[in-house]
Amino acid sequence: MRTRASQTSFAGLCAKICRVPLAGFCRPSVRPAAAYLIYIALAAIDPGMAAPASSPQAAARLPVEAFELDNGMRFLLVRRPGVPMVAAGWAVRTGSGDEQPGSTGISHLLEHLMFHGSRRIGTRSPDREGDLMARQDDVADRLFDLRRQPASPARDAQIADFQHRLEKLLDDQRPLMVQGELWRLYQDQGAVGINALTDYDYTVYYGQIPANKLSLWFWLESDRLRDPVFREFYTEGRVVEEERRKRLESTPEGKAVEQLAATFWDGHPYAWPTLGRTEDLSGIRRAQAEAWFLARYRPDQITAALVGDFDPEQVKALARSYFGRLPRPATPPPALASSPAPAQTAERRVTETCDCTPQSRVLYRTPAFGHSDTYALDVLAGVLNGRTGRLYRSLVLGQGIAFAAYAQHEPDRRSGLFQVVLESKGEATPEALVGAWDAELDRLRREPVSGRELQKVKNQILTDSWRGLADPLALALRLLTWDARGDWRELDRWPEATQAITSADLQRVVSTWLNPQQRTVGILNRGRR
Amino acid sequence: MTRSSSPVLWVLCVLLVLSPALAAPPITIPDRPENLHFDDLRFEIPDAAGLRHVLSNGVPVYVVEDHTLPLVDVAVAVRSGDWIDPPERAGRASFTAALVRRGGTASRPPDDFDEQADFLGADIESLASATRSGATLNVSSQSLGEGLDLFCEMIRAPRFDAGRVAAARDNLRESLGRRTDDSLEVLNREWGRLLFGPDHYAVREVTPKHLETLVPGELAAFHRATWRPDSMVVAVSGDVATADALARLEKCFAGWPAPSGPPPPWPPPASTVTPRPGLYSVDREIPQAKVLLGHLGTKRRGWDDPDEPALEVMNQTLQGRLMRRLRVELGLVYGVESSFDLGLAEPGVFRIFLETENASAAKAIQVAVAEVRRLREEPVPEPELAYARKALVDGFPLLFDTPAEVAGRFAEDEYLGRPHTYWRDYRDRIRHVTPEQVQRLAQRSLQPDRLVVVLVGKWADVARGAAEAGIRPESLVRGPVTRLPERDPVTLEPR
Repeated sequence: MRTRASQTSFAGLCAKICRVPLAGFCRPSVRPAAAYLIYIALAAIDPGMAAPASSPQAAARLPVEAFELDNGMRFLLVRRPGVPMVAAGWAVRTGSGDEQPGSTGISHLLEHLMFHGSRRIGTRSPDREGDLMARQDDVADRLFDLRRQPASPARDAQIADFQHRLEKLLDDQRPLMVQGELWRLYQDQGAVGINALTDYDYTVYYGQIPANKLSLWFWLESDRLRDPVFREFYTEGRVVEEERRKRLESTPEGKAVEQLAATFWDGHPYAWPTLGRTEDLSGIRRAQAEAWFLARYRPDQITAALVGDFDPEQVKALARSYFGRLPRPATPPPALASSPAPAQTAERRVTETCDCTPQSRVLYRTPAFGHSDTYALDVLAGVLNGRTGRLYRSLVLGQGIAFAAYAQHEPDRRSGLFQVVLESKGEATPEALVGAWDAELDRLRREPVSGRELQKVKNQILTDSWRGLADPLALALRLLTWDARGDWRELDRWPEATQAITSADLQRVVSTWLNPQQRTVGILNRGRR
Repeated sequence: MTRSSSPVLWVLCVLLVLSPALAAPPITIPDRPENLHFDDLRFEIPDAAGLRHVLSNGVPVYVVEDHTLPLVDVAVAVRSGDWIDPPERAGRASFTAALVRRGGTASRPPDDFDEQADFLGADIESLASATRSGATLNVSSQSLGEGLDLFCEMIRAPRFDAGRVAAARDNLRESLGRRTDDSLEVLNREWGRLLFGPDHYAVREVTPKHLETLVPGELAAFHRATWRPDSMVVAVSGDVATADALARLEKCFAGWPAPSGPPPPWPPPASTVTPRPGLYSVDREIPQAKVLLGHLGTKRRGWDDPDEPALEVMNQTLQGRLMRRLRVELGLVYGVESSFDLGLAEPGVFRIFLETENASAAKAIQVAVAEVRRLREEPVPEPELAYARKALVDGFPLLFDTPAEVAGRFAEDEYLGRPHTYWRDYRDRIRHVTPEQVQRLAQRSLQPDRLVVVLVGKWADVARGAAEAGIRPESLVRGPVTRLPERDPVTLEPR
C-alpha cells in the first residue's frame, strides 16, 4: 500500500555479498516478525485445547535498557556482545501524516536534506555559504512567483534570466561545500548501510557502525540534529523526483496503487504517498523545510536505539554528552493532526489500469496502533495467510482462480489498514476474486475458527516473534518504528496479547472492522496488452 | 490447557532507567570527527576447522552454537541447479527444487506436510539458483526434532504429488504472461542475453514447450540424480548443542546412499558467446530510464588470485565516485551501483546499474563511462584508496555477524571449494592494495571499447535529452545503437 521513501547509501560490501550465504539466497522475509527475548510462561488460551508438547509455549521479552535524557530524548539499548558492530538509529515522530495538501513530501525531502551536512560538516565556510543560500532563496522566490504567472515571452525571458542567476549562485557555492562529506565520513570508517526512511508517522535514520567507532555516530548524528544546513536544496529535489519515478511511476503497479490509496484514505493524512505529490514537491521552499525541522525534530520527539556490542555505561555517557547538547524544548510538542474518519456508508470502488497482473485489492480501515483489536486482526491475517492459510488453500489451490492471495494488517499511529490482495489467474476476473473473498469472509463470520487452526497461527506468530531478533539492525528498526507509532513496549505485550485471542474475538473483529459498506475495492486491469 | 515454563533460562527483567545513570568518565567532544580517537577493532573470525564435522556418510556439517534465541537454523546445499539442464529442459532444476517443498513427502501427503510444518511454526523452504540448490529450516529449538523429521524426509524422499505438480505448473504458466510487466526484469533479460547468449543456463527461461516436460516422474528422477549426499553440505546454527545436532543429522541422513550415476559436472560450463559492444535500447512508456552497462570480466585464477583484493578496492572506489558524481554533484540519480565479480569457471561480470529520468540518461551514461576511463588513466590518489581499503576492512565483521552467517559462509566455502583461509587472509590482502596495482588492473580489466549498454526507457525523450546536452548517442560507447524489440512475454519471441 504505502511506498516507503528512503535514502540510498554508498553501497559497500553487503551489496555484493549475500548476507546469509548458504541459507538465504538473499530472499526477503515474508512475514513481519517481532522480537523478544526472555521467556515468560504463557497459557494456551482455548480452554480444553491441549497444545501439543512440541508447540512453542513461551513468549519472550526484550532485555531492553531504556533511559531518557533531561531534554526528553529517549534511548533503548540491547546489548549483543560478539561481533564488534552496532546497529544504531534514531526515529523522530513525524512523517507524511503530519503534512498538509500543498506541501506533501516535505518530510521525505527533509530526510534527504539531513544528509547534506551542518555548520561543521559539508562546508569550508558556513557563513559565506549562508549568504549565498539567502541570495539563492530570493531568486528562487522570484522564479516561483514568475512560474505562476500566465506564460508570455516577457515572462519566459525573465524566468530564463532568474534561472541563470540561480545557477550562477549555485556554482558560486560549490567551492565552499564539501559535497557528500557525511556519507564519506561514515563510509570511510567502515560504517555500512547508512540510510534513512520516511513513513506516515515517523522518519528514521540508521546504519551499522564498527563498535570501536560508535563515538563517530554520536558525533555526526547529534551534530546534524543541532544545526543542519539544507545546502543543495535545489538539486536534491531532483534526486527525490528520481526516487519517485523509481518507486512509484515506473513500477508495474505504482501509479494505480497511489490512486487507490488516495480514494481509500480520502480526507485522511495517509491519502498521499510519503514520496509526496509531484505538483507539491516542486513548490516546497527551503524556509519551509527549515521551519518543519525546527518544529518537529525536537529531542522530546526522538528515540534512539542501539543493538550490538557496546558497553551500556559508556553509551549512556556518550548520549548525555552528545545528545544532551540539544536544548530542552520550551513549548509543548505539536499536536497530532486529528484524523476524523469520514463517514462511509457504501463501498467505494476504484478501477485502474496498469502494466500488471489483473488483481483486486480490498481495503478496510482498522484501529490505530495499540488498540486492543489490533491483536485479533493480526491473528486473523495469520488465519488467512501462508501455505495452510485460507486464502492460499481456497483461492490458489482449491478453486485455482488466484495466482497469489494474501492479507496485510498495518496498524499505524493514526489509523490502521487491513488489506487483502488477490492476483487473478487464467480467466478469473478481479471481480470474481472479490466474490471469492466475500465467501471466505462470510465463512469467518458464520463459523468459529477451530481450536487447532487458531493454535497453529499462534504458534507461528510466537516463532516469528523470535525470528525478528536475529538481525541486530532489524531489531533496532523495530524498536524505533514501534516506539514512533506508539510505544516500543508493545513488542512485549504483543505476543502475550495475540496468544490470548479466542475464536470469538476473531468473529468480533470481522464484524466490527471488515464491513462491506466501509471498504474500498480496487480493481486493477491490465492496460498495455 | 497446558501451562509450561520456559526451557531456557534468561535474564528476567526489563530495565527502565528514567534518569541518567551514575557518574561516568567525562567525555570531551572534539571540534571535528577526524579528531575522535578510536581503539583498534578486534575481530577474529571463528576457527572454521573447529566447527567442521563429518557425518558417517561423508557429509560435512558446520555447527555454530548460539543460545541467544530459542531458534535453530539448518541449511543444506546440493550440487544441483540450472547449469545441469540442457536447453530443451530449461526450468527443470528450479521447478524440482520448488516442488521438493510443495509436493509432500513419501510418508506425508502435501496437505499433511504443510499442516504439520505450519503447526510447529517452522519455516521450511527449498530453492534453486543457477549454480546451487538446497533447503532451509528455521524452527524453535523446542520443536527441532519434529522440524528435522519433516525437513530430512523432504530432502531425501519428496513425493512430487501429482496434484501439487499440476497446480505449480499452472501457476508457472500463468506467470509467463507477466514477464514483461516490470521494466527491470526486461532490462536484466536483455542484458543477460547480450552478455551470455540466450541459451546460457543462467539466462534462458521457461517457455510453453518446456512446461509439458515438468511432470512428477521427471522431477523425481532429476532429484534422485542431483540431490545426493555425496554433493551435500550442511550448516547448523542456533540453540542446539553440537553433539545433539550431529546425532540428529546422523539419524536423518543415515542409510541414504549416493546414486550410482556420476554426479553432475562441476564447475558449470563457460559461455561461448562474445558480446557485441554497443548501445541497445528497449522503448517503453516509463518516465525513468533503467540502464545497465559493462562487459564480461575474467575467470578466477584460484582463490588466492592476486587481482581479487585489488578488484574489490577498485570497485569500492568506482562505486564511491559514481555516487558522488551522479547523485551528489549532478543530482541525476537516486542510486547507482557498480560490481565486478570474478567468475568461478567462466568470465565474471563488470557492471554499472543506474536509473535516471529519460532525458538525463545519455548524460548519466557519459559520466559513468568517463569514470571508468579515469580509473584506467589516472592512479587513484592514495588517500582515496586508503579510505576504500579501510571501508572494506572495517565492514568485514558484518559478513560474520549472525551465527547463521558464520555457519553458512564456511559451508559455502566447502561447496565452492574455497579454502577457509580466504577469510583469514581477506583483510590483510585488502590492506596491501596499492594505487599502482589498481591502475594496472583497471587497464587490464576495464575495457571501455567492449562496453555493452542496455537501456529500457522512452527513447524519444532519451534522444531529445541527449540532443539538448550536445551528446550523440552513437558516440557514447563503441559499436552501433540498436533498438531491441519488445518480446512476447510468453514465448519471449520478438513481437
